Amino acid sequence: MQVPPPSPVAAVRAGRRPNPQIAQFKRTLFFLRRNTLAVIGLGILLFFVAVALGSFFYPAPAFVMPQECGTLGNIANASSCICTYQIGTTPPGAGCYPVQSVSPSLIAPTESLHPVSLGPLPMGSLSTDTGTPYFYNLFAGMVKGSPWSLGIASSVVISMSLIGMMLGSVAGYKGGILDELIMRATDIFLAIPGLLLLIVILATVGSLFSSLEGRLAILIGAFILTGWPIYTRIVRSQVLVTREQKYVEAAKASGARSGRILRKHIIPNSVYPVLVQMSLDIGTIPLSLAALVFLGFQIFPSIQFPEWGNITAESVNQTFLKGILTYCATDSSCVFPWWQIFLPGLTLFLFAISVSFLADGLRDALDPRLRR
Amino acid sequence: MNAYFFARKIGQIVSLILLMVVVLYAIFRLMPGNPAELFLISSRTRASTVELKALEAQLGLAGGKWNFHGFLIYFEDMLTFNFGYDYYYQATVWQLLSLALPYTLLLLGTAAVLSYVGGIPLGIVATWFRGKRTEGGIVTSALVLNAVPYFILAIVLYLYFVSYLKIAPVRAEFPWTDITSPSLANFATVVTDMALPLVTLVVIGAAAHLLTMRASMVSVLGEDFITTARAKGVPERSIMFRHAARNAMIPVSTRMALEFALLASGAIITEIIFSWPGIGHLIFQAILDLDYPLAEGALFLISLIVILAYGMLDFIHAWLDPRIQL
Repeated sequence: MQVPPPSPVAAVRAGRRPNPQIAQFKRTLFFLRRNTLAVIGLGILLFFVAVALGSFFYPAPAFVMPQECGTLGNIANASSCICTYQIGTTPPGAGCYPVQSVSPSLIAPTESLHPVSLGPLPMGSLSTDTGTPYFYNLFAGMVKGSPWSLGIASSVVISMSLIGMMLGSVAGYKGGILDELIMRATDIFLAIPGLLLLIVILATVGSLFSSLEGRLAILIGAFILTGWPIYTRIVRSQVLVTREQKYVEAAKASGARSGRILRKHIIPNSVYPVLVQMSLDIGTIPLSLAALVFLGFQIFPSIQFPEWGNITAESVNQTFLKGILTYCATDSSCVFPWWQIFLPGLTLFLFAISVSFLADGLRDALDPRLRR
Repeated sequence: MNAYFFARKIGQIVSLILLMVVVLYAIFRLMPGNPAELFLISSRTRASTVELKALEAQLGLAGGKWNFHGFLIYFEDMLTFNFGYDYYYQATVWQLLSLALPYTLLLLGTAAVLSYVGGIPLGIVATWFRGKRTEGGIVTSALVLNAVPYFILAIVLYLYFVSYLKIAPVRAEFPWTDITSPSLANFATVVTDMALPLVTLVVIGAAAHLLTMRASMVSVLGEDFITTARAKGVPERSIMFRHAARNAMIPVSTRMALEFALLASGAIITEIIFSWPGIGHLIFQAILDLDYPLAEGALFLISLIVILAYGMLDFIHAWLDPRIQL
């Protein structure tokens, strides 16, 4: 059953002249709805938004101080203990924590993060290593973290695209020396690979603040600083095409100033590729944050800062970096804490896939040649 | 080829390189503290005062942190590729880089080749079967693979193959001579050492190339020269793989230039998880250790390679598409 796309012709015949931007939007929506993947992506994304809104009514994750169950050779309560030790060392190693009081599928015994290698680096002050191990409810953490993650990712992406639109449209429309300056600035930022640039920025200014808000601001700033050049380039190349269009010429002939032409004609007509890039980028931000924390650039412990990437890195660090293998008193109770990787991994994966499905659908809907 | 364009391009590249030196200088001077003193108190080193003075002189810090004379020393050192002596590892920066570079080139070069070989033909095939189930399957699986968090994929691979099955080495320890003196046994060690990081990089890379290639193939197929080729009866296979694919390589070649950045800087996360002794690992450790000579030298070298790769892009584009005039 083929439903034709909404056509503006009928409305024009009826004497109404639809706003062309709204008509374009409706057409995009029509093609987006026909794309199953895009609808699935949108569904997952809306689910995350709903979780984020609902999370304010969700109880905060429990932090249970574990009682030690003794060293491995001498376990007090054998059947309910999971012991952890470093790869390459023989047990008994680090502490053993009781697991039966709480559901093991949800609760990961997460020790507060130990930085990888700090030395006298300014980042050393970024670690708030209290050295106390605590139980952390991963599921509750992920729920509580959703507004943080969505908030950080969307604010980064929106600021990047705004900066890109401003600089890119000016560079593309004005040309000349301004264009040259802006483009060389983007070249400089693009010449250092993304993650490396993030690390360099955090290492340079990361220790300026000790409050959560201050560090968050630096983190978001670092993300924006790494990402804006791509948006600027996209907008510029788009503007170079749009400024040659007849309607821009018409606007110029009717005496519009360049500010108005940019605002009313050029920017609205080059916004769609930016939208696609935004939905591609938004899914990678929690992942990059996880990578940063994993590398030792901890922003704040996940008790105060339950962001998905942050929780992922702490949880993964615990199972991987410290080389932890579970060692149980009895072989039958020996469970590898797979949920510590699976739950955060699944969340990051679903988030990334929802936005990339949406981006793909959006690209198909916006570009008539790509439509299936 | 236009002489004006050529001169302009060269001017752009040179000015970018000079600007890059200034920016890197500023970044490293913005770091808090006196790098030479911080270096002295860092735990792993026992530098003497003599060494400290030598380091200060080498970094141009002798007259304070922000003095012009120091900047000139720095500027000259970078442009003459004289990155100096690294007191942390007790070797020259060049020695350190040349130890790590072959590892990175081997891993990332192989990964790049494999992901292009896997991704680009599949992208072409996907466009060939447009609107059919094959295309949906290929594109959907590429989108899914593209969304897999690489860092978690690497860790799962490590935990399963190294910690659990114990069939992969904990750390790639093959000496570099293994590769320079080829034999079957040497080849086997290199392959087992490299397999896991390679899988991580190829899975992610191939999916991304496939999606780029497919998108650009579709837009090329709408062009007039394809219609002409069809009209004169060129077989479909030839249209796809010869006429369209060559043109569609332009956005993919831009990605290749980006890949150069990766080749030079290494994939930091992958190298760290699999203990791969490459450049990414080295730079990351240098930034953490405040190892200024190494960090400055390596970052400058990377950005230089990237700038040159981007500069080459225009010429590559002109070669791929004869309509582009330089």
